[in-house]
Amino acid sequence: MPEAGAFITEEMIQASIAKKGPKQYTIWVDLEYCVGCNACTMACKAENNTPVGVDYNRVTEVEVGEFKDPAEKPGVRVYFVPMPCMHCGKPACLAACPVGAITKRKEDGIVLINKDKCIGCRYCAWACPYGHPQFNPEAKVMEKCTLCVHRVEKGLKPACVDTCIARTRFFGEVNDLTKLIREKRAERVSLGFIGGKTTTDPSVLYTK
Amino acid sequence: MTIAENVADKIINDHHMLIETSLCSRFRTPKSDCSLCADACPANAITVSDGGAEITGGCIDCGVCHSACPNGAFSIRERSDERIMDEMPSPRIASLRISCERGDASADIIVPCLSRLTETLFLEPLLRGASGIEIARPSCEGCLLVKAAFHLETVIRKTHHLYDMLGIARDRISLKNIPLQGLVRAPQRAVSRREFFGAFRAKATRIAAAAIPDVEGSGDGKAEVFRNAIQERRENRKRSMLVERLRELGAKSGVNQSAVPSEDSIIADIEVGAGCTACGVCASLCPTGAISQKQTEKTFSLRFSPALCTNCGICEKTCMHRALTMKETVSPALLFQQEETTLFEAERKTCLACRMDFVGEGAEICPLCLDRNKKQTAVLQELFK
Repeated sequence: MPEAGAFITEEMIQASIAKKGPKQYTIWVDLEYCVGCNACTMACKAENNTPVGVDYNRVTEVEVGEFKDPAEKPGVRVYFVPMPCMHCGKPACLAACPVGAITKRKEDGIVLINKDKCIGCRYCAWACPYGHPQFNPEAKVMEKCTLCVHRVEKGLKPACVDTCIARTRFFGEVNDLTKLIREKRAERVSLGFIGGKTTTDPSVLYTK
Repeated sequence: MTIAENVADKIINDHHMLIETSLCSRFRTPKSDCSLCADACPANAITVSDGGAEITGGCIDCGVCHSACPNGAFSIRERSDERIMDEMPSPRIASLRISCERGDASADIIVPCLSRLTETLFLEPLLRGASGIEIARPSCEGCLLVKAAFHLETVIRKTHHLYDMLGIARDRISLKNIPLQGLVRAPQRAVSRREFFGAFRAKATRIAAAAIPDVEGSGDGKAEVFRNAIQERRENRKRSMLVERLRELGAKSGVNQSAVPSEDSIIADIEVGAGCTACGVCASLCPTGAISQKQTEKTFSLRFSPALCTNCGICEKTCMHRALTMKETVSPALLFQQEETTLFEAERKTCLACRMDFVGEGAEICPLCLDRNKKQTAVLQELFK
């Protein structure tokens, strides 16, 4: 299996990212209440008109814990984890793109693919530790979650956040959301480490 | 800029260098760090960026950039290599004397700077029967164009390897040191006043016409989509002219197959290993189309035409899977190879999950989709440790 990690060196990531801008918009998902209805996935699909097979938001079911003595508190629990683009602080997709089609906006930290530049080579998908960018077989370019930048610019929230029936997705500036999480004493779970190694500084926040 | 400013700017700053951006390595990929043109430009008139090379001011039309760029991205409207070759007397038994505008005013050919010379210009005189080429070179230190001086050595070194390949003695190029002179002009025929003003009028009209936006509005003003722009392959005229001369000389004398270090070679020798995933990035980004991809219903293959390769290194630099490597030594005789080599060929399949084409034996799901699964599992394990 080709090792994309060997190709993306620390120097490349440092050299290719924009300096951290004034804001990083992101999404906070409280996994405690996600029921796996996929309304967010559908809203995103409708908002962005994605073709079959391309979903910017994917919800994965995870079983956690062990079944113990039924008399005790049940040890098994299912979580549903919606994963959009992490809009990373050090995007591996940006570093991997051979034509510089991916940029991270200074004003709000949103990572975008320039479809006029994209040659559909899928290096971004290879490099992304979350496997996020997807190939659009009709347009023949790569696509990814844009944090509904077209809505954000008008002062709206991303479609997935507005639609969530459990009201468990929140949109905002990453520092503000982090403060809110601390105030609510919610338990942070981090995607910032995978397999014991630091990754790309994902912005999306999860709590459970 | 207003139309009037646009016109005035072009009249004042008009220069004769043209850049074919799609041949420029820096335009094709930000992973290229090529700055050969800017490094050699004695007037510091060239800026390179992710948009490619641009002439940003003070160009003196010396043409050194044309010699420095391996991809032939720079061309000179008026004193091109063809024009200089027209000035060469032939047939000739004695050696051809070349000098620069601050050198020997009585030389057969005078160029603005000796670094303007190209490998082609060192081959053509031999085809015309000259016994050798004598370069009358003044000491460059005192000259304003001294920044470009190093480049002549590079051209001669590469020419030597071509000579070796053709069995031509290296000493047929001789360098003669002479004192630095005041500026001399290249020999030109005298023009009448009518011709001069006529030419000026024509130039001004041409520039004004080019500067005024199309009033019929047929252009929408949008720069061509990058993805489409890189698929058009423009001819590397510099290379075509060189290969023409090599073939003519090679037909007479036979061709030596010895290899040279790849840094000194004008072409690369490439191999593709089993790690290739048929992404096609090398072929898409190759400035001259030396690497091309072919897809049939059943197979995917990469082909290579060494004669088109300019040793720019983009293919090796951009291959994420590290499947493509450039060999350390190259035989320049590959320039004579007419057929394409097949670098890589594999069975082509379509992924059931993402409908992407991939190469792989027996598998139904592409490596990328399999990889995505692994990644999401790894992420979730981390989330709920």
